[in-house]
Amino acid sequence: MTDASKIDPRWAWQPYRPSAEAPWNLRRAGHLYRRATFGATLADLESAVRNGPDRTVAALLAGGDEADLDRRMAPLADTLARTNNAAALRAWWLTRMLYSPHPLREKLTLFWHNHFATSNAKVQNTRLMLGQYHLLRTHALGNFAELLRQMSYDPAMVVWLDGKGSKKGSPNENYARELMELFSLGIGHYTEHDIRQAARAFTGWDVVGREAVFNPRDHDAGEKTVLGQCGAWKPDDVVRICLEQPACAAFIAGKLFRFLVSDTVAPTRELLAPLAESFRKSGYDFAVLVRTVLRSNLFFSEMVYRTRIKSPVDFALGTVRALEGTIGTTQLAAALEQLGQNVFNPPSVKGWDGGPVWLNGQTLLYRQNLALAFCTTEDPRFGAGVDPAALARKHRVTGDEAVVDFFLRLLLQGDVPAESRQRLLAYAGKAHAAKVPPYWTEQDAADHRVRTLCHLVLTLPEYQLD
Amino acid sequence: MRSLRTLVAGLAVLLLPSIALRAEGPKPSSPLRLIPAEADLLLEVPDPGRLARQPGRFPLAAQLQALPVVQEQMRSTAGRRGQQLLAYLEKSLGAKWPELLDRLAGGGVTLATKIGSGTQPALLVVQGKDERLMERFVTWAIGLIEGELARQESSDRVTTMMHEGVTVHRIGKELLVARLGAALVVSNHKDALARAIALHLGKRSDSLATNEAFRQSRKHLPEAPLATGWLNLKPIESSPEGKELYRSPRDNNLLTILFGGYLAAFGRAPALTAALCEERDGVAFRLHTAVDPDQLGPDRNLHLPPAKEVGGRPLLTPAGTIYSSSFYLDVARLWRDREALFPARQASDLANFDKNSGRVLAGTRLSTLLESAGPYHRLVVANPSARGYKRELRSRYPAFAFVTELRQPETFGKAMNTLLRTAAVASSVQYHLKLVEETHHGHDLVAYRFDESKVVKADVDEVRFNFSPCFARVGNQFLFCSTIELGRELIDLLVAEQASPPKGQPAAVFDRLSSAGFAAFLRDQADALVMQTILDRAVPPDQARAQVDQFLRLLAGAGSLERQTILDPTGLRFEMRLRLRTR
Repeated sequence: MTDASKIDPRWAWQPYRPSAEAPWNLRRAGHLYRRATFGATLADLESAVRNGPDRTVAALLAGGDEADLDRRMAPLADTLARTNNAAALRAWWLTRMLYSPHPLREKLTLFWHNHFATSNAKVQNTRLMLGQYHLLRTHALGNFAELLRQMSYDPAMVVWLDGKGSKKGSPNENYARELMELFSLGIGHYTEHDIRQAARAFTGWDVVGREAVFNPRDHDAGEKTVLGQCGAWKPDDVVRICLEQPACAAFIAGKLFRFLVSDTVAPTRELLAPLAESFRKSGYDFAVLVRTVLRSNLFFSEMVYRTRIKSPVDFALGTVRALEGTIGTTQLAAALEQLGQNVFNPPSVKGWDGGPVWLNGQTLLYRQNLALAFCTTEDPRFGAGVDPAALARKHRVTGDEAVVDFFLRLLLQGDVPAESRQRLLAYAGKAHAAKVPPYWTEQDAADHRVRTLCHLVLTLPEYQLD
Repeated sequence: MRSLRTLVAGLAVLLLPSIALRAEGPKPSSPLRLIPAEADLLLEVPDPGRLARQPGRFPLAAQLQALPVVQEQMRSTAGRRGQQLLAYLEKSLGAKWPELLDRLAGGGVTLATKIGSGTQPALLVVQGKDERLMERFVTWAIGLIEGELARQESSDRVTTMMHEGVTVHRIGKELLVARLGAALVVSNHKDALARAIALHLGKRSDSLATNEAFRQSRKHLPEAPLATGWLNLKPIESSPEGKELYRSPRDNNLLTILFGGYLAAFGRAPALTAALCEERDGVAFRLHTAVDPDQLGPDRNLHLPPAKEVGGRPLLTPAGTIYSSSFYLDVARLWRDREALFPARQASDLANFDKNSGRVLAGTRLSTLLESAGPYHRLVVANPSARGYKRELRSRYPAFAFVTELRQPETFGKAMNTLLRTAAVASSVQYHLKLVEETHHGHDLVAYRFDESKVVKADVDEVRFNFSPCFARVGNQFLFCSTIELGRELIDLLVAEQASPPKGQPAAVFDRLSSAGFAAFLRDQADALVMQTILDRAVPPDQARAQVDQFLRLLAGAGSLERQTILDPTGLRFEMRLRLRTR
């Protein structure tokens, strides 16, 4: 594990410039796409290599035009809200993730979903969950201060953290606690007294239909002392006070560090300081923070390359996008639940732990089975929506060696030990001699070999890494 | 082993395709002769070819095949593999599959098993007409399975052994396969297979076909069924769960109220027979239990009419009916027979509740309500022929109504009038509900409408405008309805009904689901179906809408599903009839 204290903060956040030691190549382009999006096609990667890191990062930040996707998804959102269809809600978001022309924005929406971890298991209202999703997506690359302010009145959040029913005289402390502990400051930067006082400021809210409604009669309008500031504070005041704390910018920068850079390197205060400083100076403009991180030396360094375990969403969607698949997402959502990431249903207020927790004997087996389901074209859940053999044909790849190299290049940017490649080639050679059912055609047998090779690449240990 | 099961299942499916040639020549032996007498559950298809020809009688089958989702499945890798396997079978055995089906399974297919916990022995008998072809088929299938196991590098193998001079193939650890003349026998248990071989060789004669109880219950089967089933109920009755379920009074009051009469019948019947039958305009599924109606105990009076009484009133079918039901439930018995129906404690609680029930029932005692209500009830769900509000609704729901026949119309009507008006007043403020009274066909219709000028924030989708609850009494019929419009239609129907002498029909439960009505209901939910199609199968929106539309048009013209439950001197009979448009 890298010792973060040995990393020079100035070097870390300076823009990466390709060099002989750290060239801009398919490998780094793959790294960028894995972290900042939900995977890439070969065309995406090759285009990134041609365009260089600055233009590629700028393009990811700008994203493509989402109008068409929005136009197609809006009626579905309206319908699933009216029908309160929780299963469709998950599938709806996965569809956006899979086909969005602005994948960075969608990925950061997932980041904020994990940050403000609100679960429909308790909210039980797809309309409110969609409302929160839109709030997160609107500010995914926007202003964190505004996001935090609006989150305090978000109806799903009001239900999730028991703002509903919190009244003068019996304030519920859940939202005030998580606002400080999980949403803005982190443990150690507030006291129990601050929570109790802040909780009074959040009294008086209820959810009626799709709206958070303020009932002045239930609100505690008295004076409160929060983090040293005294006044008849309301929710906006408490959020402002939190945002004024020096700990806030560093806390959010640290959270983004774990999401985009590394969850194995524990960042020191010194390492995060430049990030936090620029974030704060920008008035909590999250795009500034994201751009700094994605263009940095540290982001493209060997220290953080393939040091994270892929989340289930990254594993599954990255595979489908790389293989240029078109699949329905209802069954995909169910498969992701098995793998431990049930979107719109994080396990607790802390969200998903992530990191090594994603993998255990069972989830690894599920990942291999899901990869098989994507590759065989025989699984009824996905059918031939993903077909590695058709993709190889599209790219005019023929012959065992070419097929092996194609999938290694596409899925792992060719960055695997030589022995792994040899093992794949050995399998391919052996597969020619293997018997196939007598009713298969030669094309069936050839396609089967290609699909099996692709599946084997997806089960390599390196493919589990982000 | 999963792939092996899939392959074996695939081979079994090959024996049951959709069109077959009619059998010629002498009738082969029944596969029942190879089923041991201990079997508790039996499923039999006497002529698989005839069963496979059924879908061809109805245009619906071809229409279903034309649906994009079905086409997708047929074009899928798994669908294509199935077709390749079938072609390979035909090529290997030198005949097309309809002929193969007749020669390999034309004598009938029978599956039998025991009932009990854990894996029970099961026996599948496929009776062919052509012994030499069956021999070739077994050799072909075993070769195919061996090849597949080898290809998958499975640890399972096919081994061959002899038993009483018969060649037995063991596939993996689970399956045993043997050919007995023109019959193919498959089992998961060596003793079951040994019994079949002994019966085949004449070393035993105690097959299920000779079992007297089995023979008696088969007498109730209709003529020339497409498929039959038989279930020995004794093991279920004697199990601890069965004893609890069938005893009277049982602890579970809800079960008694909902199904008490039927459970009483099943608990006293020796066996249950089932049959799937061809009918002129569809197929019918029938269940029969041979019980003496007079021996059913107190539960019977709750759900089944006394001898010589009609089972229920005719179905009410206003325009746009989705579902209509007529059923017998003598709620007065819940009060009168409470000590026989419920355990002593619950019966006493009910009596105590009744003493003070007037407080929560607007001055009427529960016992009064129960005793003044009658045993005949009807339920209707219908697409509204007219909407009672100006507002264009995005969430549309069907209207529904409950009609009950009264023993004491005046008493019940007066009590219910007070009760319902009190309940309406309680909710009128919150939801802006306005009382609307009208006289329709000379009958008072007491109704409530939501105020369209008022906003109810809690009702985001304005679902309330699907409803205008109302009630009315038409002679001895009391009507509760979700909309005024349906209420008026039902008053018209009830008035017409009362103009002629009361009619009845024999079924204690009779209901009908109309595919046209159901399709119209689904059309109101088309957005949800389109959404599901897009999310499930990544279909573009315009295609998804076209596919949903195609499905709904198909459904609208499909037909109807009817169910009947009839108690007669032979026992209790349940019938489900699918009526389809024929060619």
